[in-house]
Amino acid sequence: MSNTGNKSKQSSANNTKELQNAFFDSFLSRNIVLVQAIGIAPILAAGITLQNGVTLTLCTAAVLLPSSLFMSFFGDRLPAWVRAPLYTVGSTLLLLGAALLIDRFISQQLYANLYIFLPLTAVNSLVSYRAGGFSVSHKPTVALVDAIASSLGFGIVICVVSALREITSYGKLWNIPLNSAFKLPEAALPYAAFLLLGFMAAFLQWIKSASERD
Amino acid sequence: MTYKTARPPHLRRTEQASIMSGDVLIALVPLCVFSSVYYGMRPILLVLTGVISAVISETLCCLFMRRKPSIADGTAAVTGALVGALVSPLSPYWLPAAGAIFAIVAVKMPMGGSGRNLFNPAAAGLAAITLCFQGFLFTYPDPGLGVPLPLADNALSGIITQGSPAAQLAEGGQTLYTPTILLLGDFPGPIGATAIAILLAVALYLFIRRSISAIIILPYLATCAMLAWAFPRVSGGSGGSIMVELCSGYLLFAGVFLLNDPVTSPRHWLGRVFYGVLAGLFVMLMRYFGRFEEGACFAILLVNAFSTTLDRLGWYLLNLKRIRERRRVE
Repeated sequence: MSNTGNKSKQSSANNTKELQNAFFDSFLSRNIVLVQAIGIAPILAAGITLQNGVTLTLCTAAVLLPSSLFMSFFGDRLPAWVRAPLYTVGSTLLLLGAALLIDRFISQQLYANLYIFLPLTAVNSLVSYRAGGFSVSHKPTVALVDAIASSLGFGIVICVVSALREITSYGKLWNIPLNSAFKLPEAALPYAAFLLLGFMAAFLQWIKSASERD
Repeated sequence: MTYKTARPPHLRRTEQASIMSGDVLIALVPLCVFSSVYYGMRPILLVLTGVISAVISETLCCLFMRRKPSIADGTAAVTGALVGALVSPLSPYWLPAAGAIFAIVAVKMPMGGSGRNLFNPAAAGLAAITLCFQGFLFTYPDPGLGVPLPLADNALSGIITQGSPAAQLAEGGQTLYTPTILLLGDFPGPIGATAIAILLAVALYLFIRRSISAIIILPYLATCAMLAWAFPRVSGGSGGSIMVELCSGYLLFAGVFLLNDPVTSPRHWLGRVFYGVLAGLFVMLMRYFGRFEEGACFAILLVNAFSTTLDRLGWYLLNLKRIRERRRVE
């Protein structure tokens, strides 16, 4: 695992290579959701429409990027017991702003749909694991790239899952009716997302093993 | 010295899998015949639909995975038949087909096919159709109708339906069904699960053929009976409560056919006792607090997840003395 590496921030000569590795690690080959199984709860419960999925992705990115950067700059100078409350309070403050923005200026309906899962993003395991664990022991650039890759890795999974569930359960995509005859309202229940995640994880492993064989 | 590697399930008898599935299929025949006495040919056609769709989807999955088709061991047919036997005689033909296809395509084959599935495919298929189509699944025809059900799906609208004993239990209050009626199976319910007397005879047959294990089913039934005695949901004595709880829904059917699946149940005898007790507990909890009138399939899936752990626990408890002695020596 990359985040259990040495704490001393090495200035490696091969900088771009390191950044590339950090990006593809969290985004694809060790996808934050499908391989590391982090941040599943919002996908199961709130990932039922594509709008929800995109909003949660943006909120996660908005919380993760600043807190990762901050922890990377100052994390190793702070005692370990201060870190967790610090980034939790910080991300809660960031989310307050995001929630206000959505509620006032974008759509009250969207804010109501997201229910408890918008505020819960602040204490999402994704944020605490990447910001509190990985970033502290890495350079700011690496931490930033990892935060972007983690947000994208989470985003691509929640968007695929929520789009599929919106199509099957409501017959809509991004609130636009698709006129499909087949509807299965139960696809909005959590078990459908569990099944989808399982198959996506298996698909990812299949691609990885196929690419290694070549 | 050479070791023979055998595919799971690891059973003591030779030629295991195909004989066992043959036994289960034979055991299902009298249950379907009993249902067809009440409702005509429709129940048999429903069960056959389940069997055929399971076998076809397993063949297609094997072709897709570039594997030799494994339908000869009969486990796919058993899965389809079990799903078909637990739907209502009134359900449309696509319902058992959907359950059987889900069981094979989403539960059995992704785990590696026969003998490697963590969860009972029939229970999972049934859980899927219970969640998605409970309206079809829990609408039972009145057994006192006297005429066979129409075979075409679109002619079913005018059939008189009746609440099953499980639905009455969920509502509470007085039950209409006496123990004699329950034993004879003259009450609305799933195709294969109402004939309680035949189910008991079939269980005896399977027990003699060693296809099912008494140390799973007896603790299971005892736990269910104890909970029914302690927390009755009908007025009029705990004895009546035990009888109605055990005979309604597909509690007994699940104990005989779904719980005794050799792939997903523990091997060790003490593990099996724990497994039965836990299954009974989950089945009754699903009834008391669940969304549906019968949630035994969810209980079976839950308890399947504990199977390996219970196996280890049973072994550990019996070898506790030896393990402690070894630790002391070290």
